[in-house]
Amino acid sequence: MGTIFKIALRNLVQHKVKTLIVGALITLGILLTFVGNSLFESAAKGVKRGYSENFTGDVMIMGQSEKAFSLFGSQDFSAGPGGEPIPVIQHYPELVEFIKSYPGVMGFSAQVSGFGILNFDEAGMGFNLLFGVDPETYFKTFHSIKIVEGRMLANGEPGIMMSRKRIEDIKKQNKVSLKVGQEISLEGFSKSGLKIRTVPLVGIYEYIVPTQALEIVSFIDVQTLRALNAMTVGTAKETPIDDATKKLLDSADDFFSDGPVAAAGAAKDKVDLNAILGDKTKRAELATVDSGSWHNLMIRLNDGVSPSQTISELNKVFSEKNWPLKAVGWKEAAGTSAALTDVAQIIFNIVVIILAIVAVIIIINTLVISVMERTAEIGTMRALGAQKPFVRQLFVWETMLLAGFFGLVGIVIGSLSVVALNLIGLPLDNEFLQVLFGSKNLKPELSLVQVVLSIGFTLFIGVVSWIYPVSIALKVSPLKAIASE
Amino acid sequence: MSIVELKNAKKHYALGKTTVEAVKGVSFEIEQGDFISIAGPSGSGKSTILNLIGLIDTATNGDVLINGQNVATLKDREITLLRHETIGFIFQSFNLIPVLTTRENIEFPLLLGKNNKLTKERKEYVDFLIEEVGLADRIRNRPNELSGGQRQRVAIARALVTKPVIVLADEPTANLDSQTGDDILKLMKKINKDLKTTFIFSTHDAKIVELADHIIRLKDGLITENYRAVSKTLPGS
Ligand SMILES: Nc1ncnc2c1ncn2[C@@H]1O[C@H](COP(=O)(O)OP(=O)(O)OP(=O)(O)O)[C@@H](O)[C@H]1O
Ligand SMILES: [Mg+2]
Repeated sequence: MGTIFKIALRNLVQHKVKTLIVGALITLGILLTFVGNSLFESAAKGVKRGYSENFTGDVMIMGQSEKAFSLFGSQDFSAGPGGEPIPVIQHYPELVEFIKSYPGVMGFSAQVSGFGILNFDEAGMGFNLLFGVDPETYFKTFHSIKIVEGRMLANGEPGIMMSRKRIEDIKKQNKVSLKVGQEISLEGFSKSGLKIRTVPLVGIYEYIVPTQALEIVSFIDVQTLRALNAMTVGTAKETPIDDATKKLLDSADDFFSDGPVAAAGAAKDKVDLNAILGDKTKRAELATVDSGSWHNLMIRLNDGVSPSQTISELNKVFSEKNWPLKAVGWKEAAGTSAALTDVAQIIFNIVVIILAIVAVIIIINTLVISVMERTAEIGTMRALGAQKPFVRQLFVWETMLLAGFFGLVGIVIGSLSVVALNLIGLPLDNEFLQVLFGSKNLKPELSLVQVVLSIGFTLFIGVVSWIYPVSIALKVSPLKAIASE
Repeated sequence: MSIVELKNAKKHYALGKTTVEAVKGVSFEIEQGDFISIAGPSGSGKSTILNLIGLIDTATNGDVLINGQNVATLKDREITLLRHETIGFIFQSFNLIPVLTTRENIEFPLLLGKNNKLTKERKEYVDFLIEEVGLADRIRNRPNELSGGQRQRVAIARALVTKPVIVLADEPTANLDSQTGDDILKLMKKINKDLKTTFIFSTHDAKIVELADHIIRLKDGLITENYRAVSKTLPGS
């Protein structure tokens, strides 16, 4: 081994230019992967914190359903709002008692998810995701907002709170300036028809952690949202949906496209809502709202308590008790909205893999050339009595030394960069990047996971690179020793 | 028993649609301690025969026996082992390993195979060979820092380091000027006498042929003459 190592190392030093070109490629690749994934890892932590500490909790309990639901309602966008009703939590009072005494629980609060079309002074302002909450427990569990105008919604009081960003967007797109104290009318659709409620705007807030997915969410008193969702006691009477309402419902799909507000507003012009909702007594009758129904129960756990373990324990309990509930983690609770960072990281790594393939091809090519240039040398070694494993080891050592050394350089430079970025911070001015990385000033942390992954990646590049050149080197016959004449 | 025996050995090369008969069936024996020249004009099959004896090429037909063992049935691993244990090579282009120093090049064959420890005894033998080929002041130099003659001396020491029974040298002096070539041949002859190592070398230089005590002449892949020289003395010695 000593001889092989010596020859391999000296060959690398001997062919400096080749070694440096291939080495720089490896260093750059590892550096890119290392820093990139460190950023993403920190981002993922930030996004997780942003969600679990502000909206989803560490564990979320919801009703069982065949369909996919998240904190934001249906994940099946093709169904459109008003499609599949969100399952309510069965055995809610027992569940609350159970969770209260459950070990490791720091706090919890429940929520109802819904939506409504905002109307003010006959002007439509488009769709709005609504979180119906019990403000007292909810904002004690999640310190997610800071009131900038007006006040916090009180328990039991009908009212809505909207984010400043939402108010500004409405101003820009609909030329409507909403003020605290104004009455806002909300139209809700469900299988049982159209509901309208009017509530005052009690407060305007800002999110403490910027979370794009939540800017379109407004907090509303839960009872009003239950009414909009038609979460009534007993079977609701069906309100026939006529064509005009259908049209409005269809326009709801535009909520998910680029111009939601404009489209909904346009639809509004054509439809006389009062005509559809003429019979107010009928509406009142339908609105015997179930005051105990909730969609999601979000639990925050104490530090050091494993969410995944808690989830599996809870699910076991639910199935033992025969409660049609399921506990999920923050990611599933957040639904597609939290997937952005993951998707970006996957895309990043696909790019990295493509680059790695290109790099590996270049390395293989260089090594093949170096094998061919050295056929006489390999032939000589074989003639002098070197067995095939000797030749294999020689080139494996050469490749692994090359990849190992320059990979290590990449990891060291990467680590230093990450430490430096952690100290100075990476300010993100772009809103998209802020959402992507879950922070306005990204401070990646040096993680052992990334170091280990990068070492693995380096070894992988080394191994993948030597297989083919070595197979060529092994085919060199001792006869090649004299072929150079 | 002869250490090398060729029985009606043939070597054909497929060259496109035609076959080149490089060696058309030759038979001869070589005795331990001989200093043998394989002579003949260019293309007569000298290199081909040396490659067959050196186990770096295989005969198309006929038998090659080394120490009485027929090599035809051996696997690559066994052939390599036999080559390592019994044969030393001196190449026309020296074929030193560029990144190794003089001493390391000479030691190289000792580090191959199972018994690859550099024992005190082996080191002393390396020292002895370095003295023998006159490179004591060049042990730390790499091949590119040596002259052609010096390189071939390194190659000679390397060929001898495993104490092989046969050393093969295909035109060892072809890349050297005539004075240096003479010196190299004399060195080989001296080692042949001192160590009783069998040398088989090819050449088409008539002057060099005269140094041999066993001469095999080839023409067109066939032996034309195979004889022992009367005089075994070196000119000028
Ligand atoms: N790999 C090969 N493929 C085809 N023909 C070959 C090959 N090697 C040798 N030959 C042919 O075999 C014949 C003998 O070649 P060989 O190299 O043994 O001659 P040689 O006596 O060593 O000649 P020289 O003195 O020029 O080195 C030549 O005609 C040569 O062209
Ligand atoms: Mg020849």
